[in-house]
Amino acid sequence: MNHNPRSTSSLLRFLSFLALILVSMASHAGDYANGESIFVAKCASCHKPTDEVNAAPGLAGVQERWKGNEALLYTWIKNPNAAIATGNPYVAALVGKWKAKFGLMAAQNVTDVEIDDILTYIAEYKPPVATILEPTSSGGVEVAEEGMSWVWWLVFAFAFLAVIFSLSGVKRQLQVAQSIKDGEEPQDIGYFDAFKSWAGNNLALVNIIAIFLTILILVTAWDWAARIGVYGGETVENNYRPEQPIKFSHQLHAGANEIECQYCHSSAESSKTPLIPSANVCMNCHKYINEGPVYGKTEIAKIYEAIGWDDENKEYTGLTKPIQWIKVHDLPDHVYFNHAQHVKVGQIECETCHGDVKEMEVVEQVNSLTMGWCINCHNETQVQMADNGYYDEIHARLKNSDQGVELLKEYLEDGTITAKELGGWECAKCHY
Amino acid sequence: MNTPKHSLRILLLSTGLVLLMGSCNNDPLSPGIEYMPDMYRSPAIEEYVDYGEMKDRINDTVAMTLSAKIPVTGTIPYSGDPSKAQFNYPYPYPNTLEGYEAAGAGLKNPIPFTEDVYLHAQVKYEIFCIHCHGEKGNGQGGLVQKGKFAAPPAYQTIPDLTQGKMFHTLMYGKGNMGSHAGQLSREDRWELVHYVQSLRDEKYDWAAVQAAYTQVPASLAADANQTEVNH
Repeated sequence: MNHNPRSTSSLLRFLSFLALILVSMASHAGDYANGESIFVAKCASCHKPTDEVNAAPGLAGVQERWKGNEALLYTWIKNPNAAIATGNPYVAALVGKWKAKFGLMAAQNVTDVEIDDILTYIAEYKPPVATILEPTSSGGVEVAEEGMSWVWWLVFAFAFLAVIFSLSGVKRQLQVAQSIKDGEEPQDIGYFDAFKSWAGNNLALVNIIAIFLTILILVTAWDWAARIGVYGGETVENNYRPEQPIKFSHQLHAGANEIECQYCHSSAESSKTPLIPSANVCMNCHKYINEGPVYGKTEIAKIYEAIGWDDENKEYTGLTKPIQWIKVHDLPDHVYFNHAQHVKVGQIECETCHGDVKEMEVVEQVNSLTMGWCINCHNETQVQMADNGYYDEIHARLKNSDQGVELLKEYLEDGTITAKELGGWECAKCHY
Repeated sequence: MNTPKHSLRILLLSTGLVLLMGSCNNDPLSPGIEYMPDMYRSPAIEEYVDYGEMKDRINDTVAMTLSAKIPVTGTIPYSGDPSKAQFNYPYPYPNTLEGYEAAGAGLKNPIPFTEDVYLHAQVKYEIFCIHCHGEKGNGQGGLVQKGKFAAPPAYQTIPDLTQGKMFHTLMYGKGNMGSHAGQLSREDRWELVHYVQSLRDEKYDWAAVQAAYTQVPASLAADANQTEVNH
C-alpha cells in the first residue's frame, strides 16, 4: 500500500486553507444595506458601529477582536449564555470587563446570514454625511440693522441743521456786508436772536409747531409709560428675546422633532410652575445625541459641562454647575399665576399664551402679559365644564341654593359661562 | 421769569428727551425698564430666582444656592391623601443590575387597571414615550424614523419584561433611556406600566399577572434609605 502520510497532511492543509478562504469570504459576503437595517433595528439601541462606547461597547473592529473564535461570535450573538458556558477565555474577559456596567446582552433572534450582513455593515461602516445647517436669523442681526437706521436719522438731522445754520450764517454775513456798504452800523446778532426775530415775524407757524410738539410730547410720553414692564405683544416693536446661555432651539426640538412641550416642562399640568427642565432631562436624549444639526458639538457640550458628563468615557464626573437660563415670561411677584389651573383645569393650549413656540429659534414673549391682557382673556374664555371634575363642586353649590340658581340663570343668559362669571375678575383671585 | 424764550427752550429740550425715551424700548435683548424692581424681585422665595443676584443687592454667599434645590436625602413627599402615601415611600431597589432583576421579581403594581387608568396613561405615553417607542410600542417613534435616535427594542420582543422591570427602568433608566423619575410621579409611572403591558399583550389580564408576584425582598428593603437619593 502506498500510503503517504505526507500527502494526507497536505490535503488537510489545502482543505483548511479552503475553509479559511470560505470563512473569510463568508464574513465579507454580507449585504451592507440589509446589515444596516438589521443593525438599526436590533443592535443600535445599545451598540454603535464605531469604536464609541454607548450603552454597550462600540463594535468597530469586532471581527479582528474575535479572530480565532469566529464561530463562537455567532453563538455569542444568538445566545450569550451558551457562549459563556463554553469557558472561552476571550468571552470570559469580555464579560468581566463590561457586564458590571451594562449587563449581559439579550439573546438576539438572528440567523447566521443576518449576522454576516451585520458584520459587513460594521466592517464597512460609512458614517452619514453630517448636515450642518446655517443658524436662522437671530435677534442680534436685526438689532444691528435697526440701530443703523436710527443712526442714519440722526446723521440726516445733523446734516439738515448744519445746512440751516450755514445758510443763515451766510445770510447774516451778507446783511453785515450790505450794511457796511450802505454805510450803516453793522448789526451782528446771534443765532438764537435771529431765530427769535424770525419767530416773531411768523407767529402763526410757530404756534402751530409748538402745539404739534406739545401733543407729540404727551403722546410719546404716554406711549412710553404704558410700555414700562411690557416686553412683548402688539404695542412693542421688538418682543423680548434674550440670548440664552445655551442656544436651545424650540424650533428643532418641539417643531421638527415633535417632542411635546410637557416632556420637558413636565409639571405644567400639576404645579404652579411649568418647570425649566433640569439637565438630566436633556441627558435623556443627549447622552446618545452628542452632536446637533446647527451648532455641532459646541452647544451640547455646555449641557455636559453643566451636568458633569464625560462624553469620552460615557460617565458622570460628579462636577456639576447650574445653567443660568434667562427668564423670558416674567410676571411681577404681586401677581399669582398658576400653570396647573390654566393647563389642567382650563384646558388651555400652551400656544394661547406663549405663541407658536414650535417656530421659534429663540423664544420670545409674543403677548404683553399685562393685566389688561389677562382680564380680557378671562372675559372671553368659556369655561370647559364638560368632563371636568374641577367644576363639579361649584356646579353643585350653584344648583343647590336659590341664590345660586339665580346666578346660574344670569350666567347662562348668553348661553356661555366665562371665567369672569366664575370669579375671574375678582381682584383677590390673582392679587393677595 | 417765564419768557417766551424760556418756554421755547423747555419745549425743544423735552421733545428731544421724550423722543429719546421712546426709542429705548427697542432692544429685544433687554427686558426694558422696571419701575419698582421690588415688585419683580420680592423677598418671598420664588422658583428659579437667584437670590444672590437681586438687583442692587449682590450677595455672594447665597449666589447660585437658593434655587432649584435637590431635596434632603430621605425626604418623603407629603401628598395629604393617605391613599397615595404608598407612592411616596422610599424605593427599595438600588440602581444596579441586581436591583433591576430584584425589582422585576418583587415589585407589584399597586394600581388596579381600569379604563380611566388606561386613558390617563395613554395621554402620558403620548407625551413621554411615543417619540422613541412609537405609538404601538414597536420602537419606531418619530425620532427613530427621522434617524435622530437609536431604535429601542420593541416591547413585544423583550423576553421576561415584568412590570417591576418596567418600573425600575422608568425609575433609573436603562441602556440609552434615561431616568424619567423627575418627570413622572410614581403613580404616573405605574399607570404607564399598565399601558405598556397592554401594548405588549392585547389580552392583558392585570389580576392574573398580579397574582404571580411575590413581595419585596426584606434584604433589599433594608437599605432603602441609601438608594433613594434624588428621586
